[in-house]
Amino acid sequence: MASAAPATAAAPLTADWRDFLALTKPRVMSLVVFTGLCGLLAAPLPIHPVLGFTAVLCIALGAGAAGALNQWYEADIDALMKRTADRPLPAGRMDRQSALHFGVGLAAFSVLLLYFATNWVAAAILALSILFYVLVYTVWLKRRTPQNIVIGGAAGAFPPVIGWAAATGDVSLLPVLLFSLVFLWTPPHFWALALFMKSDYAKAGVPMLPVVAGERSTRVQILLYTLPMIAVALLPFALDLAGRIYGIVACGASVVFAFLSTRVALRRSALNDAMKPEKQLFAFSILYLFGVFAALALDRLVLA
Amino acid sequence: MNEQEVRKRQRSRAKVMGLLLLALVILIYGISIAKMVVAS
Repeated sequence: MASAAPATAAAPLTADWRDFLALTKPRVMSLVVFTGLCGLLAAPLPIHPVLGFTAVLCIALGAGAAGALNQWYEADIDALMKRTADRPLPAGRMDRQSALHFGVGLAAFSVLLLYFATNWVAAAILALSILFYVLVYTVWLKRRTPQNIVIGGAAGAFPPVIGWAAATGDVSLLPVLLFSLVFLWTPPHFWALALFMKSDYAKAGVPMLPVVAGERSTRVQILLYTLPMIAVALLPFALDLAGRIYGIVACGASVVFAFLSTRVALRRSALNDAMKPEKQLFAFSILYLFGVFAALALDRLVLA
Repeated sequence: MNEQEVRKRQRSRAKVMGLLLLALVILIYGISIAKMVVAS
């Protein structure tokens, strides 16, 4: 377990409800919710709007629970990084036990509610994704290997599969491709971030690739993951699982992604470098995932 | 943290919890109706 956070030494705290909300990482949640919603909308079977809303809500609650448990476990390293030092636990606004109870309770509630509203397949995948994020990524991999976000990225790739399973009760080729797309998208996205936040990760002792293998290797790896990611992004169109809107958006966005990651792969940072290309790749990678998933959902709605 | 601040936070948390419970009741009711509609 993580060593004691600053908050543990203090007397019992009365955290504000906003602190509990912050524990769920709302900004990270938005992408998870969106990909889950698109997975649900892309499914061939219609789902009752109330049940569909509940499924997306459960994906959000499950992601929030995983985020809360992640913050509970990582309070010590969060305290060392500028980006995370103001979170409720390292800032001392909440005691660790409240965070743990909140995370476990929310996780159990989200899985049970999803089972009640939809089916056991979706609920089981949601439970698996929460356990994967907390146990495999946070507890096992993050502090041990620079491949942490490669394998851990699978946790963030589950939401479109959960959305699809909520509507259909099974998992077929398209949700597997969507899973693979998010899985392969995660390394370039996080390594672009890690390149310009390298000193923060080094200070916290997190073995991110730029810290352990160096910038050169990270830049090459970004490009190496971008290529199969683009191939997977184009597969739904090539296999006739998605229509023209998806094909056009996926092609256009992938060209831009390839350009930005190649630019990052070919450059070397100077002393006090502003890391603009890396920041641009990071920002565009978020837009890319939003765009491609939105196109898939739109495609299905237009065709319907 | 003084007692007044603690009470203020407790009240605020209680209000949010009340609203969440109300939302949950409405949601469970909605899910039940939706499942009956789908089944019929």
